[in-house]
Amino acid sequence: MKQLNNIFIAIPFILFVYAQVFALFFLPQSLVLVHILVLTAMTLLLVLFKWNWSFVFIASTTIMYGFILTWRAFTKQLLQEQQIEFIVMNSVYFVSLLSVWYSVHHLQKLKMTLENEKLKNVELQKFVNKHSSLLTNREFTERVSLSLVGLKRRNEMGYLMKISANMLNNKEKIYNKILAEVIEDCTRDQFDFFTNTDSSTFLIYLQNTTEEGSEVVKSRVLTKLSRQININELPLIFTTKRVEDLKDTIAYFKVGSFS
Amino acid sequence: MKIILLCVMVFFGLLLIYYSILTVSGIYFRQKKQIRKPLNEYPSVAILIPAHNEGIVIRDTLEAMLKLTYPGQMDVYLLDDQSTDDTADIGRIFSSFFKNCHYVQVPDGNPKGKSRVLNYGLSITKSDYFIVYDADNQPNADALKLLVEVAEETPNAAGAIGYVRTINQEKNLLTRMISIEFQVFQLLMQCGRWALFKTGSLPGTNMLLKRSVIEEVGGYDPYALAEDAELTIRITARDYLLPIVPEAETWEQEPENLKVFIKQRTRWLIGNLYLLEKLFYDPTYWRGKVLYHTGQHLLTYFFFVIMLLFSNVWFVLSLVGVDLPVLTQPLIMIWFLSYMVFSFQVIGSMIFNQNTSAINLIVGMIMYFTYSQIFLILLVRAIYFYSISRLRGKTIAWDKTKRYKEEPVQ
Repeated sequence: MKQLNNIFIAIPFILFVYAQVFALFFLPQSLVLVHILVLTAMTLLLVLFKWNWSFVFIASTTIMYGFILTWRAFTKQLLQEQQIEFIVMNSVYFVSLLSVWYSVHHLQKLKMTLENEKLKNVELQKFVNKHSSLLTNREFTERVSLSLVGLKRRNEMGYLMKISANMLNNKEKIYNKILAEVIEDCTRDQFDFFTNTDSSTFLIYLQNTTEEGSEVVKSRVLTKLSRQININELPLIFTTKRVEDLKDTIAYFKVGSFS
Repeated sequence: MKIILLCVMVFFGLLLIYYSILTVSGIYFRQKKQIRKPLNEYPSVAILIPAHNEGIVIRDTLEAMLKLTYPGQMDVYLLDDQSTDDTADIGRIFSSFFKNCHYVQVPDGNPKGKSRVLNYGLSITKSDYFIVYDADNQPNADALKLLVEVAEETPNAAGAIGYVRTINQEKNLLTRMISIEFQVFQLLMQCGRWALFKTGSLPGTNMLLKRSVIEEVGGYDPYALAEDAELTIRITARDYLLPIVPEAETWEQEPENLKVFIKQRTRWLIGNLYLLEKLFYDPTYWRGKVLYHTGQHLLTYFFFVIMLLFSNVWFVLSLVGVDLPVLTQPLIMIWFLSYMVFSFQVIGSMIFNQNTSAINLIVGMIMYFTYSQIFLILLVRAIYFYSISRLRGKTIAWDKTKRYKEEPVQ
């Protein structure tokens, strides 16, 4: 496939060369110099415009040129064979510019892709640092471990809550999305963290709370979820445990895929 | 002869100018930065999904609907029209788990087809707006929100129209060409017409409408095979607007082989024949924007196809050496310009849709010689079937488009 793409990238160059050979052989001698001058001027203009607007420019000038040639053919009462020459002139103009445009566009596209990737990277950094409590398993472990040190020092308690459901018939993806949104709504931003260990199991870390606090979160999750999901048909299992050592608590929850 | 040719030439010249202006306007509209403010309150919306034996795609469709982020009340209705596969089972499971997802068994009845099913759906729902999605659609999460915002913000709007993209574009040459056709004729031309004349055509899916408007126009015409085009005419006749929202995208499957494609498009063309006949016999439609829509239909489905036939016949006759009249009118130049305008529309839409690649450019350039020629066969088939049904006084049966198992987009 990559090789095929490389071939396609070469096509504009091949087309350009053919168009110029065609121009040199078939255009009237008086027009060859005009063709070269117009092509050079247009190429410079193409570089100045944004790539999408430069295509509009090529299209408009080609159509205008076509209309002028048609008008000439009409006023001079040219026969069909003579009109073919005009078509060749219009085609040479269009193909030459299109091939140059595609090559310039290709380079600009590569540049844009690179810039977009950089931007995405910056956005992702922001996301990781400031937003969302849904963490990867690794981030979850790191943040909870760090938080536990602080909790112990301040003599506070932290709880880990597991929410799981028995899923049927491939509804995991949508269920996962809905449940993640509900958990995010029901927990404290920048304070509680959560992660999903598989498609239907979530682990929530509740910082500086008590058994009653965990119950409040459980009740909030159930209330919010019941607005969207029929929880009688889809029973959730809640398990809560005070965390003193993260490894031990995770082992207690038996979330095998947790990494 | 000379005068006829001159008239043809002038007419074609004007058409070329018109289509060039339409293309540029479409591009301008697509590029214009739209500033949209969120609404204070979002109206309730019913999502109607007519389905008949859609087991192969319906799970992905329902998941995509449940992923829509809409700040107001939103309910999904799967309208099952007597499916015999597992559509009902999947629908019932979703309905039992998700509170805003409802499985509805539509009673059997005649005539068969989408219009009757949608009328039934409308009769059992009560929302302020409804939106129609075909059973193979996967809209982007923000599609509904964008459509509602535009419908609420546009004065005298009957609803809003989104853009239908092709989920299986990369499958083969045919799906690629269909995707390009949609980009040009469903998006760029629609945008151009909206920018210039404030007209829009309902695409049959990803279209939002106010309940009050559909009730005012009397619901869907159950005999219409192109129910979207037919409804567009009745809504336009009441001077309502149908704004275009290109950013509200849905993804749908297109036919992956020629046989399915020809069947689907023949049905669309028959639907348009029915509509033209209806318009012809009702003089109340011969005015304003409706007349514009009628002209547009005539141009797209008949005039261009007939001129294509004429041009092909002329080409073949000259190839086999038949003595044709010597013409001094620049007909070949006009033909060439038509091809150029067509190709510019195709390539332009790709560029502004950020879908440009060397293969797409090449496919775009050959579409006139390949894809467009199929429309000759389609018109002949449609006229034949329509005439037969009219002579026998029978209703043409609804024909469901074949679906394929695809990887979901989101």
